[in-house]
Amino acid sequence: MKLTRLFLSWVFVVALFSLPRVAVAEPVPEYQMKAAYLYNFATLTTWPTHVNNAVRICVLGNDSFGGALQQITKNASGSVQITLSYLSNIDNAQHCQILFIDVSALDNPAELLKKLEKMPVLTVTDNLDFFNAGAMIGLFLDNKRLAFDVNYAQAKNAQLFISSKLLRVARKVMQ
Amino acid sequence: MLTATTQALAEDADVRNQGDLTQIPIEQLVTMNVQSASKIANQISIAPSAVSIVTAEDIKAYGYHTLAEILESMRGLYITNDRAYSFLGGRGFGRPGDFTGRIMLLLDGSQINNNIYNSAGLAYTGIIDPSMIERVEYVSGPGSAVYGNNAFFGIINIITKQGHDINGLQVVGEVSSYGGRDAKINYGKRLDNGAEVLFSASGFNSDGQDHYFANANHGSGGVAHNLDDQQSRHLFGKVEWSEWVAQVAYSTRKKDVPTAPYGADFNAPYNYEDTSLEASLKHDRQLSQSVQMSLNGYYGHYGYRGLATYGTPWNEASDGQWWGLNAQFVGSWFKNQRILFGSEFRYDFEQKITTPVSELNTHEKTLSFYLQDEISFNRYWVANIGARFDSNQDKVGHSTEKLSPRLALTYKPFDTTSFKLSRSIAYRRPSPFEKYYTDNDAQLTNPNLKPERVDATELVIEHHFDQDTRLLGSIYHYQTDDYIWNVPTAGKLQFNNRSGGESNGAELELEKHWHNNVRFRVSAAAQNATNAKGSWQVNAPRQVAKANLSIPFWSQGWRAAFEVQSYSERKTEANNVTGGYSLANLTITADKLLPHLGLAFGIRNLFDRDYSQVAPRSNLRGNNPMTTIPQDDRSYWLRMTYDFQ
Repeated sequence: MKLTRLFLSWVFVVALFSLPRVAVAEPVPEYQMKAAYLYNFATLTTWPTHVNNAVRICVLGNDSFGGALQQITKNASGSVQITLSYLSNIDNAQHCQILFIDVSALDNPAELLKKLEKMPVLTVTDNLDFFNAGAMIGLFLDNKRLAFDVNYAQAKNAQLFISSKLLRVARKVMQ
Repeated sequence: MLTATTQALAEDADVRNQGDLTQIPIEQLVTMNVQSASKIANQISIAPSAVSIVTAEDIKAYGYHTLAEILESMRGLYITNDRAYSFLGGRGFGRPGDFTGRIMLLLDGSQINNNIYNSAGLAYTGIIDPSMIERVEYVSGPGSAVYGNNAFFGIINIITKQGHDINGLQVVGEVSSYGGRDAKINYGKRLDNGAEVLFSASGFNSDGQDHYFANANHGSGGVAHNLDDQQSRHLFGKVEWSEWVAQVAYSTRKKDVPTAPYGADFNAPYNYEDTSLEASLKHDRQLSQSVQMSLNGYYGHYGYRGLATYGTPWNEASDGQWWGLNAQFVGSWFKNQRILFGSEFRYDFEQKITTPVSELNTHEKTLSFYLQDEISFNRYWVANIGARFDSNQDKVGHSTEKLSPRLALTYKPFDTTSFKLSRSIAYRRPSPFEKYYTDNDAQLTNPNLKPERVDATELVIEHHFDQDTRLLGSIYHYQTDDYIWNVPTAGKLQFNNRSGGESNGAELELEKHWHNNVRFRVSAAAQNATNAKGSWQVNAPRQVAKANLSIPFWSQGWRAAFEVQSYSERKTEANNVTGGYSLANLTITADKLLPHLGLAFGIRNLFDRDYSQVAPRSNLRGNNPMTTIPQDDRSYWLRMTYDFQ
């Protein structure tokens, strides 16, 4: 029957392209890991004039984290209390300690960085072009893991002190 | 509401371990495996079946103007246009003129089919402008187990954008063939406290064409002058804050009809005006550690005004109003079980149809309970058992109670592949139009109409070759019973319950995204739809194939999008066959022609094909008999968008 033949050839095609997977520990969703990294950046960075027990993380552009950012604000047991804020405009960034810039906000990266110059805000992105343009920390998927590169010179310019504990596990540190 | 719950559910399950992640030191985090976010959209609607999704990116690249154009690109679906309305077809249904879509249309999880005809607008009668749409999800297969009445053959869920997607003020202007002009103003913002506001106002005017009809009763045919124009206006507003969402959608459209259906005078005034208002207030809340609640209160208003000329003007009017409350809960008390349950009360307090010779005024109430239990036996097997009980009471106290059950089993041998086998039974109550409309001439009432029933069995196979390549296949068998059909009875027409027809088919869809942002989707659907006597259904093409390709081209920010839609031959209401056809559309978009200025240019029916679609029964006789309705030649459109950000 035509339908049976169709179904069987379908199953064959699927079987042909499926590869068996080895049982491995469940991988963490990309944006949950990025949120966890932001939490660590918050605890392992020192700001020049701001006291460390309350850190505001701001997001410029779309929130692609799917709720993961809200989750890290709920962790009350840690040494640092995280608050979350969404920016519609880069000019309000001075109230932030950490600023995550999503690719959707990158119309004019040069202008963005110019405005952020000298602001004691830790700029984090997952966009390669923006990191190369001068953001302080870049988050990149590297061989199934989440690696981060640090633009140490840029952070030092803004008087931000990044703990050596963090720098030690960075993939690349630019002095 | 259902959207928010499921999304929250998905997030909840995913971030269940989030608290754990912050306890893990960074030295360990950097060694852990990460699952990269897929570029292929994941479904939000609740259903263990085949889901196809069109995203805002696609809507922008292909320049879709209406929901009908969006649906035309989807697997197995087709649109039939009779120059008055657009009708949706697929999987064995699709009789033009059949107002009941038999597919439930939802706006952010709230159903918007009206309570007179059970229909929902698709082209310019649609409830929302595509520039406000974040994505459209088509879930094939009866959805009555969760969504209730009229999710007979499937559901289409329109999910709207959020304020930050616009992030400012956007002004859009467009000109198109046949004197078309369109203007939109969109405004959206995410406020510092996390609240989102979104607003849109748009208007469309088209002169249409003066059509020549060879069979019109003016001797050697005639031209219908100035009878193809339409005007539509749309308004949309949404405010989201904390756990609340309030939204209002308004749409009104008036169109002149040139084909003189229902035996009306040819080349004489004939128009339809449809107005819809949908408002909803949703509240999501975590009641306890294991219970999540979603409340949705909604109100709807539908108005129809029709004018035809039979020597003298003939005016018809329909008005429907309804409100409802849906309380939905998701309980995760038991490990490996997710229980969705809830109750909905709906009061259709106004259902009026007025013609010069008849007056209908009725109302009805429906109380429903539904439950869906998703049981994960182990990492390979998941069962889904659900049912919805609807108890409906009409004005005269007549009660209709139906249970719509569904059983599904999913087998996931690998992370990348899943097999879902499901069986569901769904019912659809007859609409007030089907039961009570009469013009005391050609159409008889039938207050004794019974609900129609579909018994559906479906096997869905989904396979991800990699993060960005998805293959979806479906094989289905639908058996309908007591199918409501407008048939000749005692020399006139009457809606009657007919014994079962069936529809068998298979669908295949492949979607792939490349890293340089090239996007491709192709689908093929084969369907064999027959009525109780075993003969081929009207307007059910045996093969439907689509292909979509969107590529960046020339310069930064420029994109070309090309789509092809092919349909095989279809049977008309006069029992003859009209030929198959293929259509191609091309769209070129430039994001930043100048700072803040975007451009889009498109050609529809690129190869200028002469093609016709099956005409409704109402066009068969009268002053301009036609079994098929010729469609538009090649047409052009040009759109400019200015963003104040």
